[in-house]
Amino acid sequence: MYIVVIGAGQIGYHLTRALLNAEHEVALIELDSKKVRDLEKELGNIIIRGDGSESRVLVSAGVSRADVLIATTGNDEENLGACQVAKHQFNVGRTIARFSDPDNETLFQILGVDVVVSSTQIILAGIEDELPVGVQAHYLPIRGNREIIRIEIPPRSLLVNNVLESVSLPPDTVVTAVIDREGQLKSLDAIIESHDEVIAMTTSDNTEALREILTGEG
Amino acid sequence: MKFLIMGCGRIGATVATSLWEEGHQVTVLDLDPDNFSRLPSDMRDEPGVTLVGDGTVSEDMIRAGIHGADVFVAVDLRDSRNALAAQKAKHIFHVPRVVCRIGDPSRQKMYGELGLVAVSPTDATSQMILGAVRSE
Repeated sequence: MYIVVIGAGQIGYHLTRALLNAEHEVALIELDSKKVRDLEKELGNIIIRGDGSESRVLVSAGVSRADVLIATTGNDEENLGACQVAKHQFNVGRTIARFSDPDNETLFQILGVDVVVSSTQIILAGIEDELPVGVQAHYLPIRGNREIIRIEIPPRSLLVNNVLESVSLPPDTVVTAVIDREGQLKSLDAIIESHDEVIAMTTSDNTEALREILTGEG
Repeated sequence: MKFLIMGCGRIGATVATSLWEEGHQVTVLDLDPDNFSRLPSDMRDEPGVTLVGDGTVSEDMIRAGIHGADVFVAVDLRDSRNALAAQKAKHIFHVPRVVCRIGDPSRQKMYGELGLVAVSPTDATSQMILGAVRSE
């Protein structure tokens, strides 16, 4: 794939290296000329100096043939601008934006950014792994106010020793996988055991209801 | 009418002053309080006219009274800040009329197609300069 990355900060730089290692073609756009000079020695001509939300800079990076644009700068407004220009002026199929202000998540989704990522949320998801069972971790916000979440089934849940079909899930909810405590994928109609993990896509309004249904003790 | 103006540079201050002199309710948001010196002193002294804050941040927009605003004007220096603030005002706060300054003509066209009233000082100024040059 051809991927254009905006912003050569810590995230953009390491992301670029990881993508190159995975044998993708990458262009990295950075505004700060000092950063560009420093990285040119290592990355060569894939680094381009310029404002990644400006059309002419994106043209010089060949964005119209890019499969994905990923905006990683610390500025929410620049990330949104880059994604909108990529999508609407150059028909880039998939745009991904990092955001910092939690208030901007909904706006970015309304405006058609395909994936919005917050480092705050990722860290929270990491912490939630350390929390008691029954806690839901939010993994990936999706268009249409949906998200993918993970819920671990606590030992006293009514669902233990029953099948998923025995409960009625909230509307607009799809269970995509059940994983047992050894990490094996289970069939969706298998008997649920304690500490199974349920991965589901649901709407943000329904996450709490879904958690209640899966973890409720009756 | 209630106008909320983000950015008190030369353009923001001129627009805000004209609207205020016409008798409208005006609040000007800027991160740098020094910029308010561009406003006439009697306007500046009126309570609620100036507010130090970031017009792209929901909390500051609410403090500036965006819920009651009829018009939001984003005239910061940076296109991306104006675009973010304007789209927030339109899609999150549902302000009836939103106008923003976009210097990059190709982005101005794009935001226009996305439903914003986007004004490009680059185009306007270039046309005036070309007009002046050609009339020589």
